[in-house]
Amino acid sequence: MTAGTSQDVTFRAEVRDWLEAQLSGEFAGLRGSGGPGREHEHLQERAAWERRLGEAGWIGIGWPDPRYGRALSLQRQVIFHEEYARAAAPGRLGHIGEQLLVPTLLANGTEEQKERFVPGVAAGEVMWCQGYSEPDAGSDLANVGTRAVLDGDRWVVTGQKIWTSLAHVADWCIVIARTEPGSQRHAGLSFLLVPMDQPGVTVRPIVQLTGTSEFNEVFLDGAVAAAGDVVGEPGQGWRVAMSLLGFERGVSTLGQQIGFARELKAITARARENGAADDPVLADRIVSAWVDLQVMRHTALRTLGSDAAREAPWAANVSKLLWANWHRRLGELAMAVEGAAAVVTSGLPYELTDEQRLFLFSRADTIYGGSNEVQRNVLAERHLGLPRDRA
Amino acid sequence: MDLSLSEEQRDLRDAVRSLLAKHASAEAVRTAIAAPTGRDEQLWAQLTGELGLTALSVPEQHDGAGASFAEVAVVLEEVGAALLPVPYDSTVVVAEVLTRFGRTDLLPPLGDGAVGALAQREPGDRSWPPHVGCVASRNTRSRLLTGVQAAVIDGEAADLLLVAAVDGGAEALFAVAGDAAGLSRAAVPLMDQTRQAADLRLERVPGERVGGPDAVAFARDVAAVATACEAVGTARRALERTVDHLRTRVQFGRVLGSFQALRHRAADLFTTVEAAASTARYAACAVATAPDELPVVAPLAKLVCAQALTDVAAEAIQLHGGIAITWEHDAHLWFKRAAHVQHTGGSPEQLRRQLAPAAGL
Repeated sequence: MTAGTSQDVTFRAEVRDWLEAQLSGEFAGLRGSGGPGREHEHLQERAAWERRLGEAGWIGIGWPDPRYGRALSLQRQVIFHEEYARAAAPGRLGHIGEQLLVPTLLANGTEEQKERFVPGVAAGEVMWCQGYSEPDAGSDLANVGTRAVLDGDRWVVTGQKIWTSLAHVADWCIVIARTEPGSQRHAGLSFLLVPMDQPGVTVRPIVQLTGTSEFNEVFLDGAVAAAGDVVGEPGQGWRVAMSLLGFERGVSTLGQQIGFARELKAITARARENGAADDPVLADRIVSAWVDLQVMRHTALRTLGSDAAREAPWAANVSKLLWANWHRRLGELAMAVEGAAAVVTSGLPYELTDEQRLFLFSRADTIYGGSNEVQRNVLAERHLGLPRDRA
Repeated sequence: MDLSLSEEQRDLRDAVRSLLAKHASAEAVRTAIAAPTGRDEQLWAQLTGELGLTALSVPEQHDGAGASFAEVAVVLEEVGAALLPVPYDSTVVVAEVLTRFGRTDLLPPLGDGAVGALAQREPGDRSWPPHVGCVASRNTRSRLLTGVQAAVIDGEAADLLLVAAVDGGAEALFAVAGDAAGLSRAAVPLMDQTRQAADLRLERVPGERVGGPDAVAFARDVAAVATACEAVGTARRALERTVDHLRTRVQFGRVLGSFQALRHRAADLFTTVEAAASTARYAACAVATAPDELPVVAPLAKLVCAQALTDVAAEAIQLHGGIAITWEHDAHLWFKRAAHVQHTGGSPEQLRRQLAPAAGL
């Protein structure tokens, strides 16, 4: 993004200096850790990093309620994410609490709920995970089968969640459960806050094609939540869950692109070093990848423009399609640049090279967070006015 | 750089859009291109004289509106949407170059409908950036240019032409009057009939020097940005019309747009067009406020927007079905414009080669 005001320049320097000091000192070992495909790394140290972020006031900088967050301008939120990426600071463990739970509470929660849950997230001490998807509710998110029954002063929850990132480190889980027996689809669901450390909750890691585990299955077998730990009215859980999925400006997008640029630069350097860049077809693919990254940057800047809500209401869907497809192609390019040597791993039992990890893990990019197909349906219905498929 | 339209820019867009909706329907465009000049003279007079749209970015002291290329870009998009057969893009590129190099004294009277044109290619030249083969010989006051140029858009109608020539061993950009002695022009027919072109022959034609290699490069970059902005307009219109078709055409007892196989293609085209529009917008703002970025963002925008239009125009034909391969339907106009834009001003392969150093190769 452009420099902005002189105060923004000062702010950028403040963020940069703080990150540099932390990541050269106590947290030096965390640079570049915990990114996509590396969620399993350095969990304890990254938990400590979350607390350090919290102490320094870097969690919740965009929360709109000044009682809890800093309500920084869009520009400054972008600056923070850019500097965070530039410093190769570690992948966040607390982002579900920061970016999903708290904004939902601030918009839909009671004062009591805000006071009880927000400070722990702000301090980087309490970790959250998100239990939306189920074995039979993937792209069809409304097909929730998990049930919750009110039993005196508590909800008793039974069902299974899947693809739950960070469930193994989380203290709490946001669970979408059916609280009205016999209800269908979006009706009768509730947004429950369920503690993870209890006998009724079992977490089982899912070993992915990389051999590592970012995602989990969460089994809820009589798991208990306090009767008051429902956000919004019982039965209104779908509306509460979707309240954040409206117009998103993507303040973290430019930061994400700095990480992408770093990956592409490494691949480009490798192509020059091993001669792949002398192949005009491969060279053309590398330039295409670079061009498409600039396209994403210009698109991100447009979705951050002063009138973006009117001009780019499609921002979240278009951005997701662009980056997911781009990153998947980058994985393919990384392998092509290595040539035949791309197939050899770096060690036993199953140590992948960076190129292999990118190649394999990026297959998930076009699936999670709303698959390409879901994004296209949303664009077709909401932004092109095409009718739903009724076949 | 704020890439959102300002309120004034939005008003400008709405005004031009409603004017063109009234006077530049598909039928009007077809009537105009069948006329002897191939242009809509009446609308051109209105755009230039009444509205002053070719002088938008010219400073006020030179009878312009004192706005910037970001405003010109808004108009270019609307002109592209209508495939308006007027020499708007050629003229604003010339105005921008002369303004930038402090030669507004050379500007013909834009308010009277004067036309500018930029020569970009010699016959038989396949290189990019284009080979400069015209030669400037020194005269007492001005330079005398000798050479040939092929298929210069709006070259026949131009009151002022910009031509690159080698001057004392280096490339330089020259302004040549349309009626200069020694200049001969011959119309050449184009596949895209919404545009007019002419071959030029220059034999010791007096030219005013506008600038050196930086002027040659700047003219090429601004032309690329103008092309990108126009292409976005055409692509958006083609997609809009295609989506309308998908919303209303019934087959198998249901509207086409309810078939997921077709909805998804429309959604992908929408993504392609809006992403491309972002590069055009960025580049247009760069002309106005960050010209040092142009050597990268101008070819980038041209590359991306030409490809987007090519994709949309091709899919527009397929998604419309049989009607779209008729002369009567507008789809071939979009498709031919796409081909024109794709193959001139640097091919995709050439533009990617041009961008290779920026990409680290």
